[in-house]
Amino acid sequence: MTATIDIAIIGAGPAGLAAARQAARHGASVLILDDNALPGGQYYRQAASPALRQIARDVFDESERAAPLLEALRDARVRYLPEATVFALFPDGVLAYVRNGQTESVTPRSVIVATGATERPVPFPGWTLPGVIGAGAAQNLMKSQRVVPGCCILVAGNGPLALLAAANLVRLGASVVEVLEAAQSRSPWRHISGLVREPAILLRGIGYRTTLLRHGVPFRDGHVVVEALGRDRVEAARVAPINADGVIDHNRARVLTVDTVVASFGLVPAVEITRALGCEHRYDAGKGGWTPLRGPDLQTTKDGVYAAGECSGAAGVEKALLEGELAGAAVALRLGYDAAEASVTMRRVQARLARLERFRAAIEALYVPPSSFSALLTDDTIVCRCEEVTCAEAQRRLDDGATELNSLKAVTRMSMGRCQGLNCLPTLARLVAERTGRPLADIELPRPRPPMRPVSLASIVAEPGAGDVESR
Amino acid sequence: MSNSSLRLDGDRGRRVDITVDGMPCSAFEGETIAGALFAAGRAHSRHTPIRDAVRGYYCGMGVCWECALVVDGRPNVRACMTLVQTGMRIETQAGFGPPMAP
Ligand code: FES
Repeated sequence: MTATIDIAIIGAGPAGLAAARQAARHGASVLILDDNALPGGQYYRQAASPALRQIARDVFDESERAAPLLEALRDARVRYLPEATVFALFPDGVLAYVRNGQTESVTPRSVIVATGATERPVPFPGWTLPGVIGAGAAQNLMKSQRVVPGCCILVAGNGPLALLAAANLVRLGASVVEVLEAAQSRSPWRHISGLVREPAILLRGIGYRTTLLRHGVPFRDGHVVVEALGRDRVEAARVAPINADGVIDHNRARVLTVDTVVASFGLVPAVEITRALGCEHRYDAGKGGWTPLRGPDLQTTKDGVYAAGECSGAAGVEKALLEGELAGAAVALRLGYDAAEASVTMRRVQARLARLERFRAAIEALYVPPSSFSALLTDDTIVCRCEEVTCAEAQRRLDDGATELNSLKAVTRMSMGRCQGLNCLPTLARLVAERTGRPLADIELPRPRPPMRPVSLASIVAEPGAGDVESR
Repeated sequence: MSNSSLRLDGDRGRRVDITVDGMPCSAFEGETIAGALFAAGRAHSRHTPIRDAVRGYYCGMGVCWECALVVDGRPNVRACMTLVQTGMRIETQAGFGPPMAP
């Protein structure tokens, strides 16, 4: 099937939905393509049955809060396709995706990429043991399953998402043993002028800390998980303080009995699609890594391709919603819809985003991680989960002269597994940077090529319902 | 949360009976395989092809493939992306899993 449409939006999370709503409001026709079965992305992750949705509604009211956004999907100008995996956007503007085992395509006049972000992988010994899960994974168990991951939980990492996951776990009655933040204790007062820009978000954050305090859950700054221990599942975790100079103090390590470690080191923008499209990217540690360069209207360096939300820098749901709104208005304007209204929207949202950026910068300053998490790596630590490559193996290849990501990838198969490098590329880039003394911004990531997700080969040759031969 | 279960208290709706490595297991409509397994206290999904290491649910959003297991004889089904259905046979995946019927 080939169809023409004004705007294709990739991703039905907060940014994608906000973009769709705004663009449709101005009169544009929209097609939203999303990997998941239900709209909302990770943030507005919904339970799949009405009964589950009723459980713990005082903690998770995502369905209600997402309702105004989900309204957008009922607009006659909006078509929404769940379980649609985009695997290529060809130079002639044809966007190809797989749905129900069949390949389909559209030729949109513009594209808004709203693919969100994924967990930042930070390997440490034992991080591949079952029971070590990301903060997003913990949130999804709580939000969509109304299940808590374990009986005795350690939450450890860097950044506000660890705190959020811990607070939610505690509110649901789970037993959280400790919460560890790698950044050293710091005075929020130094950053107060940025923080007060967004009193509502600030209050929410304070609320999470209060929840932990009220339940007597220790929150330790300058601490890190150094090892997960166990046979078939986590049975314990070794934790240690980080000295003021950023060095992990193994002499003061302690072992905690836990069955679950929620590890949360922030997010990495999901830029496979903007990169495959050839948009220019720039490295910015504060934004979580490589992000597409954009103009004030959120257009990337590729004409007609816009990026909105976490895929252009992880900074929370407010920014994602606003950027979605801005991109929706900008694309509508570009396509000749509702010029006066769309420009008014754009100016209003741009001003609001500027304020939010000052808040984000203050939060970033509060959570500056220790110099490097590479000190967590031991020889046996797996750095590439899919191809089972250890740190020692990667280091040996570096010794042998494979000091570019591409050469390292060729000799180890790292990043060529099913996760498409999402779980290892940030680590590999770090190893290469440290070995060669180059800044991370100089480490070229291999350019993703279609298919950007492991879609079944059978579905590309369009045999409905046929098998699971993975193309890599 | 009741201490016998990691499922939060409340009416979860229709029960769905599945088997996990041959053992009967109860789940509820709307749960993913990962949700049902975690609720049963089980975090692992597979053993890796090269090192035979045990792995399980990690990203929770369809990205890492660590939760892949065998469902009704089909390998490489992601537990976090697949809803339970009555009669589903769920098995730990060894390596690349059983060969697919043509
Ligand atoms: S847990 Fe990562 S794909 Fe299922």
